[in-house]
Amino acid sequence: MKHYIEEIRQDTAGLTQEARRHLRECAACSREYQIMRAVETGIESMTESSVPAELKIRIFARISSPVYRLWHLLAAALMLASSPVLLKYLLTKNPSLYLNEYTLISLFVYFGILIVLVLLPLTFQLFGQYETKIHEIEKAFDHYLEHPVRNLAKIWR
Amino acid sequence: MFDQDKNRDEFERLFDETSKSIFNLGLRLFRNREDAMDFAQDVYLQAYTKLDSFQGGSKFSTWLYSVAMNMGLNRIRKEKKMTVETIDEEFASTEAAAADELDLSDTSEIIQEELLKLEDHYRIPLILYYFEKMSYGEISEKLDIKAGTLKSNIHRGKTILRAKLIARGIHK
Repeated sequence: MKHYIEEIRQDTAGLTQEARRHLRECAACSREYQIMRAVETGIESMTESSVPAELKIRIFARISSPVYRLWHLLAAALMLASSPVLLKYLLTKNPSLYLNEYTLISLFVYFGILIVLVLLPLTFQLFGQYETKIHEIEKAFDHYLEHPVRNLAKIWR
Repeated sequence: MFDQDKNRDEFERLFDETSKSIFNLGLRLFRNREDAMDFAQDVYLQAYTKLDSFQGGSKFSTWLYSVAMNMGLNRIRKEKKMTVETIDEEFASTEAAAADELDLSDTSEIIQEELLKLEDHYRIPLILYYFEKMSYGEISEKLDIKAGTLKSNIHRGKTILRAKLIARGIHK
């Protein structure tokens, strides 16, 4: 009697009519079919795990961070760089322009705001980019603090 | 379908609807939670930047799953995890299992545990074929491996799982 063990192991869904008839008559092939169906069913019905809360936090922290385009940064840098030139031009064209203390304070505040506007987005972008690494360093640091004796012993060895 | 300013609340609702399937796809492809989280994060950030390209012709979940699958398989293909290795001699037995000794009820958990322990070149084709219901042609194309190699890997993967199932005591 011809058996169909290899065909069953290849793919139970691809068995011929003849092979399926044979299963009704042969205990060995029938058993093999049951085992392979158990394997296939196990894969087909894989269960799902719950999603860690951290995933949502990570994603929305990245999405919520300010989105600065390159041209924003370039424009701010250009304004910052050109401000002293403009100021010099104004003073040259208008020698009578008198920079009283209030004007000077305003100018300093203006330059300060420009510098912050350039640095802030860079900070956000860099922090967002390296947030995961910073988190890993924090975890490693906490781990070493929790087990100082064990870690000192490791280092000593 | 989406406003230019990318409505955050709407995206959050879509995240809540789809995160389980995307995260679990990552787990099936990459086996560990950290890699699965990194994968899911990349998928959602990519989706967020490409929301404008979503035409709304299909469900968002379908579109996102398709994006995620492509990203996952591209990563696997680039890491060249699909190389064929010779099968362990331990699993080369072709003897049929003895009758009346095996209890096949409730074996899914065993299969799923052992599946996650399989090497990538066995595990991923098995998951794509049996769980994702992809055809040999699609899998072959996505993973950039020959159809013959693919069928061989699937067959060998199943043989290993069969041996593990019997070895782990499905005896009455």
